[in-house]
Amino acid sequence: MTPFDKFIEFITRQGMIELEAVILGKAAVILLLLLYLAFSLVVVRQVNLMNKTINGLMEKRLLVAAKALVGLAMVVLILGLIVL
Amino acid sequence: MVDIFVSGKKKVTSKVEPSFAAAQVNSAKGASQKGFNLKKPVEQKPGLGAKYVTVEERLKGERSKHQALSAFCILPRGVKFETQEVKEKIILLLRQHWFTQVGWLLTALAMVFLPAALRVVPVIDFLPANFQFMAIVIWYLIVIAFVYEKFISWYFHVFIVTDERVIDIDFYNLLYKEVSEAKIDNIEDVTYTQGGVARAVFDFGDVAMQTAGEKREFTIESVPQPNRVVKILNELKLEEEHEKIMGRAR
Repeated sequence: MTPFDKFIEFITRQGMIELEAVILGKAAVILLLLLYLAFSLVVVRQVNLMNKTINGLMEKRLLVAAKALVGLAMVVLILGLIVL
Repeated sequence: MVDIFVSGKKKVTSKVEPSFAAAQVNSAKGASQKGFNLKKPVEQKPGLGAKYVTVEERLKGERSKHQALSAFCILPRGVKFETQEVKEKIILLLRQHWFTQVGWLLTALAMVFLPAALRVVPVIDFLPANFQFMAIVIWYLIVIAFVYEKFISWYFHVFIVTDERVIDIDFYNLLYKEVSEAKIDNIEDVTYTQGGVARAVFDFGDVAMQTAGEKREFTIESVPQPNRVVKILNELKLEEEHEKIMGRAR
């Protein structure tokens, strides 16, 4: 068993955390994906602000890429809920 | 500089010249009382009285064709910034040289191929298969975010030179930006440095400007063709001085 496996077994057997490690892992992944979704929304807002400060020939493409990142984050979040 | 002054004065004296013959007819005393110059007129020098060519007009022939991702753009088309005035024209749009971005590009490339290395070095084999799959997906999400953040940080970190002022727009990260500007006629001293093998080979360097404004020093870091930037800034300074003189002459 790896040190990480021993640690997980220790905390579940000792009752420090009564949840199963798998559920704990799922929660951590979903939380991470939610944070990523929030980050992608911040990116869209900041790209909009940056485009107001200076806009050039790439303005629309960058905005489309930022919104695609939001879409990707949402898809991966749903995927995580299904797969895990 | 001397030519500009002479040029400015010549326009004034050219209005006086038709009266010169009349001054000769009048008595010397009367003519001197009227303030006419009875001495020999200034000799014509080549270029005097010629139309002043602005920096913008001179650079029109050197306008860059591919401008979207260019780090050195002369008279960029379709570019506007927040505080731009109606008649203000952008002469130069500068970004950091592409060579300065090689570091994060190589990092991103390594991050893309890292999951393939996991087959050789099993790091996440203790996880169930579905968790391993999600771990790899999340890893690539992080790579995409990293690349995108680095790219827009480079793209929006610009230095703009207009016919009136210089503007430094710095986006240090997604949540912090700094915009500084200085008028061209407040610029006192412009210098550039170009040290190191990479900078010499790829012709990029730092341009530093001393100004009389609140922000004493502007530095454009790792900009392509720094000698050309300095030359254009000096020409714009002369143009500002010329505009002041022409304004006074009117």
